[in-house]
Amino acid sequence: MSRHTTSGPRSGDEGAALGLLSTAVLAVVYLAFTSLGAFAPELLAAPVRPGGAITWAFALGLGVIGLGFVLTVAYALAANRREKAAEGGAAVIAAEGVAR
Amino acid sequence: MNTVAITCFIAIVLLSLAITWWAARHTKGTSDFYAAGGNITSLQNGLALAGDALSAGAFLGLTGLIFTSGFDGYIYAIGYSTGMPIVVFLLAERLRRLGKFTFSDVVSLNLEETPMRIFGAVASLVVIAFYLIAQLAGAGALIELLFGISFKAAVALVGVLMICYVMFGGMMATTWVQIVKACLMLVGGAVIAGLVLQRFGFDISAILKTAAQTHPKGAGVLAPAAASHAPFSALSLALALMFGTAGLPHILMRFFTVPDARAARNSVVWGTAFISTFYAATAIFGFGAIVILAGDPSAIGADGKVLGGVNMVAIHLSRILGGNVMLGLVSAVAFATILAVVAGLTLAGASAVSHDLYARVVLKGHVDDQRELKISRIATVVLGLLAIALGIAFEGQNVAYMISLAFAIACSSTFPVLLLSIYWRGLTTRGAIAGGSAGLLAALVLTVLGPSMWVKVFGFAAPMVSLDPPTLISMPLAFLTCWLVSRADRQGLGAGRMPAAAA
Repeated sequence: MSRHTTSGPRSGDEGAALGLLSTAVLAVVYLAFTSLGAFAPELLAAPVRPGGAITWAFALGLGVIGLGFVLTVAYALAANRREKAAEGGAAVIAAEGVAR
Repeated sequence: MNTVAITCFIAIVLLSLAITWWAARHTKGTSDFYAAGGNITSLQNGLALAGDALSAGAFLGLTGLIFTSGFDGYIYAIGYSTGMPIVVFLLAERLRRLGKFTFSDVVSLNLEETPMRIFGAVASLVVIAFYLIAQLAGAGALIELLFGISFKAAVALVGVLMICYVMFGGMMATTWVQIVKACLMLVGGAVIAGLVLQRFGFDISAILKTAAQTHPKGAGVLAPAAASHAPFSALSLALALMFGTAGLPHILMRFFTVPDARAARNSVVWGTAFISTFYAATAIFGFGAIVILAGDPSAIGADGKVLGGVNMVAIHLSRILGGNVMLGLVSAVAFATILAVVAGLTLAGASAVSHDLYARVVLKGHVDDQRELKISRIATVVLGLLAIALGIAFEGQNVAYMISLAFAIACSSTFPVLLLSIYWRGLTTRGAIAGGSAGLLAALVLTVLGPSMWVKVFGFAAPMVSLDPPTLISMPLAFLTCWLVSRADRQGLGAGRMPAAAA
């Protein structure tokens, strides 16, 4: 079995860690929300304010949708910033990446 | 059938053909055909991603599901919204850095090329086949209702337009048709949401309160109910919705159309903004429809069922809110949605055949650009005609299981192999193929034996396997098999093949 070496910059460990961490956060929150619906539905059926129509199901469900977007923006900002810093230090590697 | 609908319908067909004609003039080589020359900006790609994610099912299907089941339908909107973030965290920029035209470029990078390409192409084609047949069969039924033409004619019309876009205009046409459609859908959705909110004095809790008073389930529509009856199926569904998007070939190929890794990343920020907003807003459409359609004889028949089926809820809602003009516009948007999504699927399938199988496996990369381009066009026509034939063959049959099957296979086969090939250096070719195949077969077999096929298609009283979808078993099985076989493989290599490798 031959292992090719890849041209262009490889994804750094730090970048991979950030992506895996973001995935873990979103997965834990979303699966926790799903588990509440599956194993403790009465908690989600309770209204946020007594007598109100908005239940915890809506509040937390919209929270999951919002968290996905917020994490996406945060991930992109952090990764863009790190990429810019790396480009400053290693212009050659960046040029190689663009040339591919 | 009204004049506005016909006018919009014709305008959309003409506009998409004009885009195709323009794109065809700029499609000179494989890089244009597969990846739109790599010149799509982040915002454009974000809109195209939103277009792919927001299929007719996401708009008409979800609105109908919330109308029928309340929060149990909204669960799907919440789940789907987590799909695109996972793609940017784990895959988007790495696909752009490591690959050229297809995700198989990436999985075959550090492993043996021929078997990995064959695996990648076969898994892609299986996912695409189920997704495409479901879309076409759904499209036929929908267009039959919206425009009054026969099911077969509707499938043939959509199929022929789809073949034209892809064959002549490649990724350039497919992307721009998708962008135009995404804009129409986002604007249409905003207008409907605005009209619904206006009826309730822009008070969301008033919508929910009235919906709970109107719906037969009462306050039960405001929280999940079905999940507690089948908790493991609920978790299984959550996994499929979250990780399925990351294994869909027609989504993954969009990251090869942008200039660099940063653009790939930023395009998902745009895409997620549009997708999340739209999914959040499906609550307004669905719960609004519960109230607005209730007791309206133009939408609900004497038997209490929605005229034309639950997929028509969003269409009835638009007509009641905005008259024939909104009805025409929304019908046309639904039609454009179907066209754009099936075109993307066909292009992903054609790329798997011409780039992975023909250029890289059969000819080992010794192929000239123009010949590969010709093969990809032939593959487009063959796949397109096959899809039309299958779409027509499934007339009147229950195809609901096909989309969930496509998602189950995507997150149990293409996604695990792609993820491990990027992040785990220990993965071997045999491990990847064993794991990907185990996931694919498990998803397929368990779906056949599960409630959505064994009971709803074959008509048996009880399912052999109650888990639906099968992701909770098939996805971990794929990862575990990849790991076990790779480990055994490396130990075997170390002990048995060392002398051969040294020689």
